[in-house]
Amino acid sequence: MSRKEFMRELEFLLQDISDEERTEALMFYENYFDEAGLQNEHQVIAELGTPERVAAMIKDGLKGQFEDHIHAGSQGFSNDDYDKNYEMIDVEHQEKKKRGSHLGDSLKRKWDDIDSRDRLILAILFILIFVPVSFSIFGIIGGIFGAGFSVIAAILGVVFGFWIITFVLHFIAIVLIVMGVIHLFTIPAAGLIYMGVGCILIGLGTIFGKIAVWFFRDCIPQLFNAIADGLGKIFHPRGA
Amino acid sequence: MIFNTGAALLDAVVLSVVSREKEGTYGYKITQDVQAVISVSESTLYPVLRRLLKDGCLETYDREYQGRNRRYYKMTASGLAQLNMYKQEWYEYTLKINRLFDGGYQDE
Repeated sequence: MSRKEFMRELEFLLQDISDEERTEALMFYENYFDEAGLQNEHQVIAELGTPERVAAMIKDGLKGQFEDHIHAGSQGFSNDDYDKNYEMIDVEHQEKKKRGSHLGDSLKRKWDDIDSRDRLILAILFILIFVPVSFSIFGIIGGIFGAGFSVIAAILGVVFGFWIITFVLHFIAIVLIVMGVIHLFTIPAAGLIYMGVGCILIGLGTIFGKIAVWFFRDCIPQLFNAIADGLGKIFHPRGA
Repeated sequence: MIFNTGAALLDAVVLSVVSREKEGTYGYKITQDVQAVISVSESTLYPVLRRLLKDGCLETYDREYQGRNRRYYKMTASGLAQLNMYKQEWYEYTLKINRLFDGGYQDE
């Protein structure tokens, strides 16, 4: 979470207090970030805790309830209660957060916590690792599909012919192309690979489709004709 | 070990830190000064400062610093009186408790 996001969330959470109090509190924390300096931004956010926690303390302070939570001891002052339950959290806000994916949120937060140079290194490492890994995953998936297809084709091929293969190949191709478009914005190389494989599969699917059409339109009638012919010859021999 | 007497004590600590600066001091520095001695969560200070302000123990004034506004907190007369009361209370209180704990060891 960046300073901007932190302050925006805090402002959102303080909607239900008076304008004066909200301005005061937001100004205090804006000032606080200014004084701490850019290099301490993430540290300050880590120490402040979530905007919900900060907002809960501000609101309890206004109600005169804040004091109840402070304990003193050799370790210093603490208000652990706020870490356990934020009584004052806006329900709507909480639900808004729930709707967002938790994994995505936490990953994004971690990403925000990393400084920009480390981010670049991570991104390069990720691409270096991801590209070979994605190739081997394709290999494995290809292998599985290959094996699966040969079994399925052997059983169903007789009944449904090539239509199923045509359909499945097109379906996989569309999925891959969609994945490719999504990845294009994050990892362009992987995105292009997905899309490329998708296109190849569309090609293969079309070939299978053509075979299927040929099989049904030309082969089967001829086969039937041949069979009928043969049967005709058996039951109605010309010589008879 | 945690004692549930933190609120007044935290007031006293914040007042004491502010009283060391005759010209007044600002939020971030107050937090740093308190933290230099005893640990306190950064988000704890704002509600305390806000209330001390409302109670008239502190007053604020704004001054420009490096092109932005900096809000200073400064002791008032009643804040000073409050701090002295806290100090007196603390000395007497801890003296009594210490005596009890140490069985007269600190008796003078």
